[in-house]
Amino acid sequence: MCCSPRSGPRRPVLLLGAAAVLAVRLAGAEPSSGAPPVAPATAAIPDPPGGLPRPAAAALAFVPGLLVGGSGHFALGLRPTAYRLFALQGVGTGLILAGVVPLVASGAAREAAGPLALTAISGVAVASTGWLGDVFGTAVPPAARGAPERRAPPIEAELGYRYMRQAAFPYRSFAVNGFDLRHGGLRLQPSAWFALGDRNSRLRGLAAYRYFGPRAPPAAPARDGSFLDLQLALTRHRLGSEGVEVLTGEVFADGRLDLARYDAELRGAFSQLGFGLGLQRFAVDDPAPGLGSGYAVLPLARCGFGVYLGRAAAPRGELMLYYNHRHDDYAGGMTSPLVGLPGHGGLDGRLYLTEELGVRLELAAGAAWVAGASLLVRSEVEP
Amino acid sequence: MSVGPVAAGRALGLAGALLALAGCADRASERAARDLEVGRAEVGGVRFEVQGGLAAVRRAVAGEIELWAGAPVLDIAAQVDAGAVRSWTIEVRNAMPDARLQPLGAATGAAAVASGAALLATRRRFALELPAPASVRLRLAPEDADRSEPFRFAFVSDIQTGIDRFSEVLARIGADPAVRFVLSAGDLTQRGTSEQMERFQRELESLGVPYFSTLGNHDASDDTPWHRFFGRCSASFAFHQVQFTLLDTADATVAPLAYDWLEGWLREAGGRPQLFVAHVPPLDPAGLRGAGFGSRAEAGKLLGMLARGGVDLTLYGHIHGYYSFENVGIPAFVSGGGGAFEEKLDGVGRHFLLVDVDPDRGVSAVRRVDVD
Repeated sequence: MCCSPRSGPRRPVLLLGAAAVLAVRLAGAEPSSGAPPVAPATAAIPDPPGGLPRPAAAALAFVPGLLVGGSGHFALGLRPTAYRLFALQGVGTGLILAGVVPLVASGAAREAAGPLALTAISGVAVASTGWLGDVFGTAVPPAARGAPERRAPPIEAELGYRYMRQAAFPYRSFAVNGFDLRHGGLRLQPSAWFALGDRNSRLRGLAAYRYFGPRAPPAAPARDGSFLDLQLALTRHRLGSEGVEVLTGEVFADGRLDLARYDAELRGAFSQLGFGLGLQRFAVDDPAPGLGSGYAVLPLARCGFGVYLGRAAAPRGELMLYYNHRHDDYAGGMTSPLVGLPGHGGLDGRLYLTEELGVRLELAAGAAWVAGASLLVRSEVEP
Repeated sequence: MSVGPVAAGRALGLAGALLALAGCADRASERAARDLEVGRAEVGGVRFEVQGGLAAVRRAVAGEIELWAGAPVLDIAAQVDAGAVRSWTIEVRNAMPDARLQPLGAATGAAAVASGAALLATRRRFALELPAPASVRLRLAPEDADRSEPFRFAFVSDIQTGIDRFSEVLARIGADPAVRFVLSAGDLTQRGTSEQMERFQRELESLGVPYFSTLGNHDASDDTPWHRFFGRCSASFAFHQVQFTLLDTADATVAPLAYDWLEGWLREAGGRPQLFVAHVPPLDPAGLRGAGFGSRAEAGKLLGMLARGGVDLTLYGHIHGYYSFENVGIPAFVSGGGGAFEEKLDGVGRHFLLVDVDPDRGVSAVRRVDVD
């Protein structure tokens, strides 16, 4: 394998990624034990008597459920769940107000703007969980819901393509690859994006520890899909055509709550929230004398609502609607008319079609919109 | 395997909404395209063009043309057809008080210019006799415009709802006789309406020097009338051998066309001192707040261009406070003290900056003047 001046290290890394995908596939190609994953059996659960039909309840979950959390479950006749969802939405709304009101009143004061914005983001996470949980719990019958994988695979690889469209940059296509290497609660995740036809690349190395939740062997299966991770990452974004390099170091705490823990009627869904902080160094190629490098702080926050895919006896993946406050990835933060303050939103879905082979679909909209798909390969997930 | 068809359908709907949000209106590019039309008028058999689009044509009828100046020096080309109207009145608003209109060069005809009454310090009227047919070049500039001499300008941005008290800020600026003009990073209005822009320009009549500005996010309403009132959103001009560049960053991004212009302006500046003005800064000096560009990658792109171009000073608005900092080593100031709802807890109210520039040494001083 050789590195041409134009392709840089992209070509050998892509080949390495493809080889790794194949290696994982071959390594995992052992005959299945035939034993089903450990998961609670899902029997058909009849809807409670006296409630509205599910479609009607789901419609009410949208409106007035957006304002009155739990409306759908209330209409379905599941009042305790309705009250819990209402409480979630109330707490979330309170957090949003606790963040936004002083943020506006202070004129976005430099001392307080960061924590207040993160408070508001927390509120969005909690309130949206109340609303989307109501929608999900009424729209999807229990028998049709998925379940989390309670163990993580030791090895997972990804190779894919992303299309990015942002007016400020001429390049569009990216090759994406990455690995997830796990042992118990430890995780290493190198990943890379390479622009095709341009000298733009984003290399990232992440190391994480999972305090609880689905972990790889030799850890025992988790109780459900809830987890708490502490992540350290280093990212090198090389904008070759623009003559700039950005190096970002970050720390991030990421947590997921399997909503079955909050209320059994919300089984099949989860809520996720994480915060962190990054420090960036910008370095310019061939600057004028005395100029060329500087630092910037990067606030990090991410929240999402998701559903598990597959059946309880055969979990297959997940689909998450998320908001990500970071502005340094390819999607970036929304511009007009929100003037760069918010981050980006998106959908991220992973679906394993067999025990080892799957696909990932990703869509994000911020300063750029990014869409694409990846092939996923993993070693067998032991039950 | 059950995926939840209803959930999947809703996910697709959300996906479509996200795509629509991201792909709809690139307003920055639309404004850049309209920048190309600024400064041109064809009337009475004469095609007028202000070089660089450095003036907005406010009114053009046979025999009369009214301009709003966007720079201290205006170079005007007039292509006169045979049979065209030959007697013209040129009224220039927002002009340098000591500017004179003079014909340039040995063109195919010489225009005769007579200065009329000064309606205001910054509102000048000239009578013009054009030969026909002819290509005529005119220059409106102070006599010292090209001299390599130190000078001072003021910088104030983000007026918005403070318009009722803006005259107090202008009075403080006007009290300094050394100020040659005022620069601004925009947010002159709250909603970017024609009425608010007209009101702002009326307020400027109390100022004895011109006010040159790019637009801010509040000025950048959909189909903004900015071009009609103030001219280009992105522009570059020279004064006293110092290069000034005003770039449209009102949507926390820059149009591709504007990046092309910026590259040329930075190159054309040569070894002259360079000052850069934009509304939204690429990076918020208060990093946790994140009120800079939407994309940090794009922020890096812009800063890279400015650093390679050797820009001496960057001036920003958008944040309603005062900050002195650096971006990749380039001195930077945020000054949003024109009267909009201000940032609390920082002890700074309404204010403006006074900037002293020496063409031989660069920026010699930047000083904040508190109005409150």
